[in-house]
Amino acid sequence: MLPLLFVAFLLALLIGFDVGFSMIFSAWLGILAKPGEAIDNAMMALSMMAAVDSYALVQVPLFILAGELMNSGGLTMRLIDWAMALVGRLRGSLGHVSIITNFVLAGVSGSAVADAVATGKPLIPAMRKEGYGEGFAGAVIVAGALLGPMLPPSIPMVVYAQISNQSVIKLFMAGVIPAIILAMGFLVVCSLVARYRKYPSREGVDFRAKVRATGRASWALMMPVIIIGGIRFGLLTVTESAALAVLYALFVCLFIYRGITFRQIPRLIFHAGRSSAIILFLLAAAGPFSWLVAESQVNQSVIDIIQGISTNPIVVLLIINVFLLLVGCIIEPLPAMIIFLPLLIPLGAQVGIDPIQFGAVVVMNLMIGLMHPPIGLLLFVVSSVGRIRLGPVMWEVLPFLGWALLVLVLTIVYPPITTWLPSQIK
Amino acid sequence: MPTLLLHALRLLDRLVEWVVILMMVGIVVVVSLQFVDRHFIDTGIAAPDQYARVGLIWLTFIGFAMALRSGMNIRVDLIDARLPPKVRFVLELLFDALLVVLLMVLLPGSWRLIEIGKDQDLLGTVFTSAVPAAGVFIACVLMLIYVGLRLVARLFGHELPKPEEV
Repeated sequence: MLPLLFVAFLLALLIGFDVGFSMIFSAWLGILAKPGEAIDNAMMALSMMAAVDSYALVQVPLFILAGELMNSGGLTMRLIDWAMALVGRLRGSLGHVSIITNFVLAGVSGSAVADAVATGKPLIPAMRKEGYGEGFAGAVIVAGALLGPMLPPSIPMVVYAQISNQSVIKLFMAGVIPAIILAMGFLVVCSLVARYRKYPSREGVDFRAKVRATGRASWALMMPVIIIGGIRFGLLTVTESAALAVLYALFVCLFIYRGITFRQIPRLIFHAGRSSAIILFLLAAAGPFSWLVAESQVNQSVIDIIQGISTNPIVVLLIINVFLLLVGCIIEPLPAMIIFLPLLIPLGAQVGIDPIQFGAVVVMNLMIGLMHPPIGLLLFVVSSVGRIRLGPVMWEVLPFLGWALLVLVLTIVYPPITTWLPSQIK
Repeated sequence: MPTLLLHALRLLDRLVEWVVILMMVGIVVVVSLQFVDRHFIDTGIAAPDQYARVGLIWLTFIGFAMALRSGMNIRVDLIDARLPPKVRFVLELLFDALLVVLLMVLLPGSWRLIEIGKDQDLLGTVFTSAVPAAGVFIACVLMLIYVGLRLVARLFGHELPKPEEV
């Protein structure tokens, strides 16, 4: 009976019912179908409330608000100018600028979609103007935005930490080396495409101009330093660093960059609050749903099936990743994490996969889901933001996707890529 | 739609938006004060983390009610987007009806949480456990109003106007 309810959940999800309420719906059916004594009607509301009653989750709205303020406050343009000063003389420099800007922007927002919008708006028209193909212009923004959730502060890492009961700061660190490898590969892809298609370069700027551009961008460049440095040296907890990031972003955007006015602040706070609520409600809805998963013993069945194939951690991790890549074709990363991680984390633990490595691999895998055709969300976002056709973007994203998959396999077969940096934190 | 109802809806939207803003600001202030308290001066707040958690619960549920009102909740539109408009319309009506049923299930449960929690103090705060539970209850009422109005409007061939933001 209970596995059937799991099917009811998947059906509700696929025909387009709200993701959170699909979980609540199937949990409710599970309660009705459960034989024996009736369950108290307060159980559903209580488990939903308990699922978000966590001080660690307070970081989620705070990091989202810091990102919203910085993105609206003129940060992106300063970072683009800075990246242009550094690499403008390279052939196809706007592609490199997109990757570098996104890499730094990741230290502020932590959201791939927010980064794609922030960099796509100014850079796609600029690339089109300089003769870049529309597909490449969109694809390079998609690739750059993929870096956001891999680098601290990353909302998916915070959610994984909450579900798996792991250290947030260690998870933040776990994504850094894979993100650097990804970015370097993306830059190489940009160079090769630019050379092959003879994309233009710009005149180089002198050292003083580079220093000036760095100075203008320094307030933005300091944000990740404050977050990580504050935590690393024991001055701040992760949640306090998120609050400090908000106050810092507010100060920089109001008084240094002057990109926002006091009148705009309530709207920005409201947008950040609503975005946070959308994510947090999924976690709340997962409360009663987790009960259903436990009752139906779906996780034990999944463990048995996969362990029947192999108990080698690398093989198990590869199987999980193929499964998650397929899931990523239809479900967005955060709902996918909330739905499937309670099943997959015990499996990883049973075969001895490091939970920090597992977290970094899962987040990277699901972020790749944002860029792979046919329904990667980032493809639609850049197509809409840059007013470009979807087809060419899907085609041109393939070399970037290939590199991302290669790095994913590397992080699976060579754990130190994700575990070495976190192991340096005591 | 009747003008009076539209005015009331607009007023409610604005009120809910400000509650969301208040919760966000409250969380920033409380977490910042915790830092100040540890490193600089005694702020006199015994358990700032408890206040932040209450704010987070209110933000989650009230904020989601507003997301549902704006149609920004997460859905998988893999099949939905490919259906003919008439089928999609019927499906939307069914979804709203199911939401009303689920909210009617959650509503008495969340009220019971308030009743159970009103005699339990939240340690280190001036609140009882009824305060966070009230956030869930109020959000259920709000969602019921929003989804109910949307359902009735659609049955009569109208669409609810999108909320005007602050």
